[in-house]
Amino acid sequence: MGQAQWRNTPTGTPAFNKELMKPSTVTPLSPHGYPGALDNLRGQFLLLTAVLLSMACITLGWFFANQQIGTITEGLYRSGSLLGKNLATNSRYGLVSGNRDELARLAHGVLGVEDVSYVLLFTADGRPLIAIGKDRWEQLLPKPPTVLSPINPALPSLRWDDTPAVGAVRFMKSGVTFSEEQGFTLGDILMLLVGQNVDLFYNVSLPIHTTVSTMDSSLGLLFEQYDESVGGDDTPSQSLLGIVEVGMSSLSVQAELRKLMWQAAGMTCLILLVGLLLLVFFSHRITIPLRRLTDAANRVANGELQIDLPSAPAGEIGNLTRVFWHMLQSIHEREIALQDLNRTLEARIDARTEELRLVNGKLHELNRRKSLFVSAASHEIKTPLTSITCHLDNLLMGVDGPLAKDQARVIERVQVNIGRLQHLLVDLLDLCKIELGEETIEIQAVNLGALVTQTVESLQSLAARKGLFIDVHIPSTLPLVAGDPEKLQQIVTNLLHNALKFSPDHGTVFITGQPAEDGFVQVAIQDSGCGIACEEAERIFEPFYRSKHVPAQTRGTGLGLPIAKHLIELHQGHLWVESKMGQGTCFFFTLPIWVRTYRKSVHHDEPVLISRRSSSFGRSDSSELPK
Amino acid sequence: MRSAPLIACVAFAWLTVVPDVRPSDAAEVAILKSSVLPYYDEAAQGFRAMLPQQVTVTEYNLRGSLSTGREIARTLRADPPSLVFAVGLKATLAAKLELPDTPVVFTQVLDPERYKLPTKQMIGIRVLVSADRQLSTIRELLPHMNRIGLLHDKDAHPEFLSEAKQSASRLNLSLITAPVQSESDVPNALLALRPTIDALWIIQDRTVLTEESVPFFLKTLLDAKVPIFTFSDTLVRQGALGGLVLKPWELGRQAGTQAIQLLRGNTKSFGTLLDPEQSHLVLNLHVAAHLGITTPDTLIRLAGTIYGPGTVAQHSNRDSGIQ
Repeated sequence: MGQAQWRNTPTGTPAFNKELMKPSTVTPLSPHGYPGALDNLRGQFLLLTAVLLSMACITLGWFFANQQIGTITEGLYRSGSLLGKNLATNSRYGLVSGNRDELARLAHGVLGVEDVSYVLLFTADGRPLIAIGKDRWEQLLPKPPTVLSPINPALPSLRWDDTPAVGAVRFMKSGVTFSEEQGFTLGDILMLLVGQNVDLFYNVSLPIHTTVSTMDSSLGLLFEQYDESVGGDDTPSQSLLGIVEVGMSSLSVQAELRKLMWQAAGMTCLILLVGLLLLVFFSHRITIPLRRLTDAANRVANGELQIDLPSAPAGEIGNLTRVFWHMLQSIHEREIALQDLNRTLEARIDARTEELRLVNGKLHELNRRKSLFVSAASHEIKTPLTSITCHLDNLLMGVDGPLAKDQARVIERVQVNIGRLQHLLVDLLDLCKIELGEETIEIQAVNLGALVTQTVESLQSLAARKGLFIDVHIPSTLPLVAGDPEKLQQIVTNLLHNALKFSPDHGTVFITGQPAEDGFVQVAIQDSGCGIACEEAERIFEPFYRSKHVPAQTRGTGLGLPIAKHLIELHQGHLWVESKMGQGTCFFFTLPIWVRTYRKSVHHDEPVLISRRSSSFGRSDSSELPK
Repeated sequence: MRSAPLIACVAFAWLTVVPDVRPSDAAEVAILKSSVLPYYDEAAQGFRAMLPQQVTVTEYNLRGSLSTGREIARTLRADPPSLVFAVGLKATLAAKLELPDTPVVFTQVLDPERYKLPTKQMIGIRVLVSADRQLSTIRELLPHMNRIGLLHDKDAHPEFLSEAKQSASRLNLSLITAPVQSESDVPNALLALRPTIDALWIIQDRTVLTEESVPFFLKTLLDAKVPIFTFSDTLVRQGALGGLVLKPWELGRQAGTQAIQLLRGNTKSFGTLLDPEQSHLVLNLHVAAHLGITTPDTLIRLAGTIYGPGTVAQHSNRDSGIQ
């Protein structure tokens, strides 16, 4: 699995490629060129690991060295303490008897030990008895009875127990110094690293006690209280016979420490080297496939889809490579499908357009034929109806003899229905003429205020029957509009008739007129009816559409609004409606202001100057108006 | 009336439980110790153990300095305690010099007469087993040995030597004394004495007994198979046959008993030196075996400490005191 290598064949089929192990050219990700050493993943890995390894090695080395220093130094303390205790025990009788030769013999025995640099013996009150040393100490130490102080300055006042007092002794410019700090300082370690020895000695001080146990009161009292000067000043405890100081050289410790430090440094370097080599190896396994993948992605981004993919090792990188390969294959397939689609799409659109055009033509033809049929039928019906109406008028007028009351009432009802039928036929004829393109308008300057007033007066009887009030607000300064007076009156009549019909009794219908933008005049007719639902705002302009909210007893042909809309549009105006359920409806229409250059006659086949304006509640489309 | 039995019980319990507190028991006692030594501490602990809980005890340590002791004593003089217990020579001297009117009980002073102790406001507990008791023990330990050698400073211990001679006579012992003038005379004196004695009795004589002379004594007499009877546990452990040893805690306890008497107004012991009430027999059965001596079972049973085969442990729990 880890050795599988994938590539795209020219046909897009995946295949194994065993020659893809060679590194491919990597396109730099950054626009300014190849990334820096620390900008890429491998460099960061290397740096981080090197830092971590170095810190770990140094910390461990320091800890190990400290442990070793402690152990070795402790061993030195113990050696010094054992030698000192041995010397203290053996020198008791020599001290008691004042036998300096014996003491010197014992001290030289201790000095013979390799790490011992000096041996000092003092009486309990600090008087020197023996002072011998090796190397530099041999010249440094004066021979007793020359005045010599103990190396540890605190010795005369020290309260002894069984624990040796240990301190560090150094050669300084000012002489020999003693300190209770016993470890190596950083400066000492640096000196050791550069190959220099440090003048550091460990001074082990021990008391020389009498052989009498401190628990033996009888013997203790005997030795303690047999002092003639007991009644005088302070006297030291008789159990302390003297003090021994043994100086232990730290040279062996230093040699061991130097060796340890070099070993630790060597180990650190070795670990670093091995660690970095391993890191390079593993980072190579990670970053090379990533870089190849990046290169491939860049080539794909540049539109090259048929590329050799890098090898797919096991693990996350391999998964990523395989996923990328699948994605690439998918893109390639989609690219081919898109190209095929592009090739056939135009032809398909043309074919479909032709189909649509043919269907549209057929529909237009059908519509035309329907309109011709309706027009012819309406016309043929209208003529006998006119004749019927004349005869009915004659009957009612008693031309053919007087009628009984019941007969007259029947005739009147027939006359009313024939009137409604005639009205319907007129509307149908108008609509057919419009749809057949036979409707013409005679454009002239129209005083819209006078026209509205005239229309209101013609419908006043209808308004009076329902107790409605028609409130007209059309300023006298309103500009003349360009339109056919007869058609405009038909428009206003249709809209006002609707408003009166749908307003409740004793309501008010408002008619307002005002100049609109871009050379138009806007007229609004508002009723206080039940309103039109939002979804019906467009459909009410369709022929014969009847809103479901209209009461059943309300009559109408359903042709008034479509005719008004078509007529308005013939005038290059626009008709729309705004309504809220339960709050009434307001129809708006616009008409162009009369200008001298306006043509006298407009036919619907001529180019339309005003785009169709769709209506909806609360908004209206922008219009292209004549200048 | 129903509560009458209860009141009676409470009253009885009160009288039973509550100790008899006397005004003297609520006294203040100062302990002066000459130095930081374990046996001084033990003596102080023994003293404290005898005091009632109401007594306030304050402890001072001279740390081997008489001048420090005198300073402490001067401080105490401003507000003197009811009693001072002095442990060791320097503490006793400090009390004698700076607190002459304060009652003092002292112990752990080796040769009090030499320092004119005790004064009339003092009671001392000797750190010396009487010659009679020691010779009686020698008699029991070595029933077949009559010649007892004794090295001593020719100017020291006249009373003790006189008492010793009387006791020896009473016990049918021949006390052969060898006075020495200085430490340097000791070896020759010992070598001269050795053939004439069956056993050597070592007493607390600083001229005879020094750091240097101890190993000489032990080595010389062990080689000659002459038993040594002494006063020190250390010497018995190092090679003497036996000894009567004083325990500091017991000396402190005895001092405590005297202190209580003084605090209660019983001052009839003022100015006296009291012998220690108890001493402990220490035996070294290794040495006895080396010398071919059969130690009487009665003494082994009485011994407080025995060094010997299988008897390393100290018999501290036994009542080993020799009255």
